[in-house]
Amino acid sequence: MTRRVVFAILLCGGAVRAAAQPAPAPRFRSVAPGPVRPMFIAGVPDGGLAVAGFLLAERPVSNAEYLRFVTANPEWQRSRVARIAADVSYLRHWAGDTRLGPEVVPAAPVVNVSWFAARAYADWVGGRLPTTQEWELAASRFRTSISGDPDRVNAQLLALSQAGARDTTPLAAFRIVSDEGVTGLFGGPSEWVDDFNTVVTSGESRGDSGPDDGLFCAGGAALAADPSNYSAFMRYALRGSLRGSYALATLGVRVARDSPATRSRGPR
Amino acid sequence: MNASEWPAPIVRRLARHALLALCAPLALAVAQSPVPQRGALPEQSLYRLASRWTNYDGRSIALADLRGQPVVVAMVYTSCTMTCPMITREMQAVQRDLPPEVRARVRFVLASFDPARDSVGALRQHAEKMGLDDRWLVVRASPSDTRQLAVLLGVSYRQLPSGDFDHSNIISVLDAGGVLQYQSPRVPADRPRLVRSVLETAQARTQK
Repeated sequence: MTRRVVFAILLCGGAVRAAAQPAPAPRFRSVAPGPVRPMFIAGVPDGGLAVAGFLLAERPVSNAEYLRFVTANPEWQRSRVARIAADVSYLRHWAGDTRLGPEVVPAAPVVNVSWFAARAYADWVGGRLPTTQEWELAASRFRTSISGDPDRVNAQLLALSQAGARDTTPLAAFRIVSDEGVTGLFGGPSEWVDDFNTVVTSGESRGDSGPDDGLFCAGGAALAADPSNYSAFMRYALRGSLRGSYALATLGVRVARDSPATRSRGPR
Repeated sequence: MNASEWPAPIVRRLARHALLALCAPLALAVAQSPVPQRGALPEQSLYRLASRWTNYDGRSIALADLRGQPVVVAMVYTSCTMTCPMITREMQAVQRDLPPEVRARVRFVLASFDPARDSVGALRQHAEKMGLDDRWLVVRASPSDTRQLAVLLGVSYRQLPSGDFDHSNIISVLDAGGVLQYQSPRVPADRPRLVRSVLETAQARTQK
């Protein structure tokens, strides 16, 4: 009996400590500036668009980290979140509002989070979501570790993603490391980008036909830049199909931050 | 002596006082608010997500300040020479087509998705050029709040290397609680349907 009481007190103490835990500090890697050739955009110069350097978290946000977030911010718990901010699939793989349950690996990337929730998390840890172009820039940094030939890089990345999909252990994607030390970009869940709603195409458009002019302004000129980059094609297709409240089992969060050099107000 | 042993009149008076004490702040809040009903916002209300905007007259407003009246809202950028003026004209036509008693209660909102170039001055110029009356707001926000509203409204936009934007031509109707009632996906819009949805939204609010 006494032992059970002591145990309960210890448990409560643990819960109190958990609630008071500060936001986790993401481990950032520096992504050097460079060109990106975005898909579905007209008027891109031959060399691609220049994207500024920035910081990107080495790993996507884990279940354990996200648990700390909802513990500190109860309005983002599963049963309390407003439906406009997250649909009914939000955190559905967890056992409860603040309980992962035995099926969920704490270190695995959290999934089933909406864009609004992903943004709130990034804000909580003093960061932001990466933009589409930043994400694509970081994902293009596999030249030295895989191969110098862009076609081979694509083929190998695709093979890696598929290997990741076959590997059912949730941490497999962390073995795929970019030249700049960013892991899990391939082979794991896809990730929210801040401007996912930039893909301006209608559902009916094919590669050779422009979208309905009445729906989008100037959208007719926007066609795929490099359809042979299959994995990028799939990412753009996914982003174009999302709404901000969607929570998907294949979609997670990664935090970014401006480079110290480009931050006007300095570190937090 | 516990509460169940207290004389009934005292218990009743205590209960009344407790009730008054509980309700007074609520009654005060209702009296001070310009809007009749101030319950919890609906689950699907856009106003559940905070954002801060500046109107073309320099006034700062929260999106949730629009609560209590039907709202017709679209996102544009003022240097747009293609479909944005058509979106604004479409909304002006809706305003004209409404019966006067409804027209007086509907707000029309143009939110810029180009905060870098749409300064308050640029917004004011736009309002003057388009001849917008005092039922209209032309607003700008931080890039982050701008992106949030676009996502809430399902509006896609992207700046091109030329500086212009690709963007959706969506016009949305919100009810008094900030819930989407209808969206016209294109310009020219199906105007009778757009007008009908504003009317129905305005009437639903009267019945509440």
